[in-house]
Amino acid sequence: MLPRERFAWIWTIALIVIGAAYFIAVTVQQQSHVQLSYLTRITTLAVALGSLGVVAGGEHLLSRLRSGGRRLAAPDERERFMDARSSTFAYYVLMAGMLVVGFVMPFGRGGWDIVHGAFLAVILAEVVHHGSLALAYRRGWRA
Amino acid sequence: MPEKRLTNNIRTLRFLAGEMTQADLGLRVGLTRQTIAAVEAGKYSPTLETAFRIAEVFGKPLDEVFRWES
Repeated sequence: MLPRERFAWIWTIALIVIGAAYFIAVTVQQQSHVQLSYLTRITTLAVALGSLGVVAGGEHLLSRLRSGGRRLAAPDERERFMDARSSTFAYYVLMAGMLVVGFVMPFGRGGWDIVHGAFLAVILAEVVHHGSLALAYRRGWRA
Repeated sequence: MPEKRLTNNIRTLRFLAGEMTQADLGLRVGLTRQTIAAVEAGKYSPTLETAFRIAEVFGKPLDEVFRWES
C-alpha cells in the first residue's frame, strides 16, 4: 500500500472516530442540563483537534521512519487527478454545510450550535475528501 | 457512437524487455508501480505525455503500445 493511500485510510477512520467521539461528548454534556463553561467547551474542541493533529503527525513520522528518513516522492499524475476529484466532492459537501451554518442556523440557533455545525461540516468534507481518495486508490480510476 | 476504450501491450513489452518490473518502468516514466498496474489493467488512461514516455522506454511508436479500439 502506498504511503498516501495508507494516510487516506488512517485519516478517514480517525476523522470518523474522533468526530463521533466529539459529538457524543457534546451531546452528553448538553443533555446533562449543566451550564458548561466556555473553558470546558473549548477544551473539548481542542482535545478533538489535538487528537487529529496527533494522528496526522504520528502517521507522518511513521512514514518517514519506514522510508529511512527519505522524503515522500511527489504524487504522480494519477494521484493528482484522484486528489483533485476528491477535493471537488469535498468542496460541495463543505459548501452545503457552510450554507446551512451561515444562512440557516443564525435564524434559529446561535453560539456553540453554530460552532458545532461548522465543525461538523469540516469533518464531513474531510471524510468525503480522504474517503473518496482512499476508495480511488483501492478501486483504480479511469481518467 | 460505438463504445471505444484505450488498450495497451505494456505487459507484453515489459516481458520482451527482459521482464522489466512495473516499478522499474514507473521509475523511468515518473509513475508509481500502482499507477503502472492501473494503466496495464485499463483502469487508468495516462496523459498523452506519459503515454509517449512509456512508448519511448520500449523504443516503439505510440500506436504499437496503445490502441484505441472497440
